[in-house]
Amino acid sequence: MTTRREFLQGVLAASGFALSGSALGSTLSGLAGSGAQVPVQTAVFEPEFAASAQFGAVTGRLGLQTFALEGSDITPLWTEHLMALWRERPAAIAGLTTQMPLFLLERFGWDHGLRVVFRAEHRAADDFSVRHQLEGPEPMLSVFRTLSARHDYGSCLAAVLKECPERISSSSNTALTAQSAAVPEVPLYSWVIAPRSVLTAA
Amino acid sequence: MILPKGVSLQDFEAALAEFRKAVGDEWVFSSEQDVNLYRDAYSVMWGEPDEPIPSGAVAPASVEEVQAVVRIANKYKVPLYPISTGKNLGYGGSAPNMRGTLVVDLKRMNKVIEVNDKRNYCIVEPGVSYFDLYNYIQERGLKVMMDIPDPGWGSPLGNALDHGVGYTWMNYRDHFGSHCGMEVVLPDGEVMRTGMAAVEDPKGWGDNKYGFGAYVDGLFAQANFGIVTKIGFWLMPEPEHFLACKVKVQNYEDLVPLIDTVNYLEDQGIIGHPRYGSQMDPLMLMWEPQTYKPTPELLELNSRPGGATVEEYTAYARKHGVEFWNVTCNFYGPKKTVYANWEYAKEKFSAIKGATFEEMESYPLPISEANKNKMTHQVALGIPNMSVFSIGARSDMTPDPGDGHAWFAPIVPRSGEEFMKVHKVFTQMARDMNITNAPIAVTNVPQTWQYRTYVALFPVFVSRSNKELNKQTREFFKAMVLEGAKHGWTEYRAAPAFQDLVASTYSFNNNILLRFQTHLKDAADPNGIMAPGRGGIWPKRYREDKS
Repeated sequence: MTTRREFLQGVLAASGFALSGSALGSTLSGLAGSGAQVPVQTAVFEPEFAASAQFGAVTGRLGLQTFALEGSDITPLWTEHLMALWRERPAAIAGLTTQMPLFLLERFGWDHGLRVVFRAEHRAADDFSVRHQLEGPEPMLSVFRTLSARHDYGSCLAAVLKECPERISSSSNTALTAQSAAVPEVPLYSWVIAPRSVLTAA
Repeated sequence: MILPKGVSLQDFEAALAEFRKAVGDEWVFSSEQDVNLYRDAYSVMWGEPDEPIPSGAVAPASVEEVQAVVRIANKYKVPLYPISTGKNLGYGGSAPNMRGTLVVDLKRMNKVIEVNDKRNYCIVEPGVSYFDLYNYIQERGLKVMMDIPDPGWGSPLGNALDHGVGYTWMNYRDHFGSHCGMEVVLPDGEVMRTGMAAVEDPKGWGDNKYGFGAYVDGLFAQANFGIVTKIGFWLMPEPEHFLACKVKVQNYEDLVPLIDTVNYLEDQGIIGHPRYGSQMDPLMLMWEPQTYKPTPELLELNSRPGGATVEEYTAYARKHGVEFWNVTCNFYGPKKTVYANWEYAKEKFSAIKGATFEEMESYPLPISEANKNKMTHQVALGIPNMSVFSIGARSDMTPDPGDGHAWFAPIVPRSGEEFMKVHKVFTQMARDMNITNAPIAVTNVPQTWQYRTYVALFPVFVSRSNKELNKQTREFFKAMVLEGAKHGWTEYRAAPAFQDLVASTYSFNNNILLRFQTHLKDAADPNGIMAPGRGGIWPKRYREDKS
């Protein structure tokens, strides 16, 4: 089983950044081992958007099952994968997509005992940077803040979204703007849909 | 916490405790986070003080649990609002008519009781979705075809009870009209069955609708006389071949003979669902951007309140070499029959000068995976999908952010002359009120989902962040309802925010229809717990507040 440290190393390797000997590597080492995570099995992305394609590529290399949406249509994802999976059990999924897939999957998730436990909007701030507004467990926001200083958000989110805590008692908000080579023409949304049972009373 | 009107906090909490004993702790939802899931995602009143947000929700798993919930509700006078899969977006979603009503979420009751492909019917529970029923049929190789609406996540039962509609053949498109027998939990908690389901041995449940005596099924659709827990539907046998062909006509006025010919063919069973289109209809540009491609010039014409003039659209069509109107006719049956019917249809349409014809799609059935993926409109073969959402979201015609819409859906007599009057009236209203958040134009086409019914449908877009826009939307919608009613065009379906108004437009003899329904309501539901306000019908205890 991959440890959290190994996983984060994998993210950096997959995004072309070498871990060893760097200040960032030290930071990431410090993040390792901070609690159990929700096992996210499936990552959903839209290949026509660069950041989403990047997210899909990195999550795929990290061992998640990935699912590409063509034209934002979730029908194949639902009929070929999720319908059977969620009938069996409420398994967590994550994604970086346009608004409509999140809207629809959130509602399908409700029907099967799941909730959105992390969501973020990624919107063009100008031609070269993206405004990120995140809402979710603080550990996830913290990883994003750390990684986004050095990596584009598609890769960062691949790490962040797999770090969803198994128990969530509160949610935080954060916003930041970062330079990006993948400024989206339309807002993109990153999200984790997880079993309702992860949400605990504060 | 939002309390139901007329129910004390003490009584509500006592009721919740009893609901938990009846259905289990995990199936009663009262936290703000859970209750928010039942808000209407497309509400025209989002974030307003009187947005009809429920007080909570309870999810029973069986008829017995539904009965228990209803008895508890009577004890504490807690108003209930049943939903099936709760996906009625554009017509209210899963939210009740009255703020504080408790939702009865029937999603856990999701059994397909029976599908019979010799007598061609099914019997299902409310939580069965179109996807579920389709999979059930496919997995067993049953030779029947469903009639479905665009999004496959809806419930056949829930859709029918809101007079929902589809895309295949004649009466099957009228989903309530295709139902056959139901089981209902009444407001006093008793279980009743109708039609042949009311017989002790209900083996004829899926065959004959009426049985004997007064036909009461209509009381459970767009109304509030009970919670339907099972329903039968007539299904179409899977045909051998599917053919879709398009007829194109050149002039605005050709709409008259086009509609007359379509009616003639459809009403004698030659064609199935006739799908009208126009290269210049702003709604078609949203729904079928792969077929109807907007140009900057066309976007400018359509951006004006009420769109452009007939002359301007005609000039555009001539310049771009496109037709003014088209209709796609679907044929179902043996291959030689469908092609013979198409030849006959072409003969009839040829009476319209300049009419041209095109064969669009032709598939043997059962459809292969390759052909299924090629189909432009899978719902024409009862194949559920979610593509309508992604198509709309990508369209240049859909606002950004896309926060949803309310459907304005008046019924219009099936004539071209009448539809042209619709164009004149509503485009003028859009100009007078400077409406730009609804795609209204003289190029709007009739929607023909429900057999023998034309609906002049368009969305009025709403916003989660712009309350002023929503206020304008509500005012415009109400004005259109009232103006339409003056011409005899009244809604076939409406979101709760407009149901009282729509019910009032069925006003013959001083609204005797609503008065009669209310009379029955008072007798059947004396505690007024069943979906207060649905269909414009209010129980006595809440009616007095409204007068």
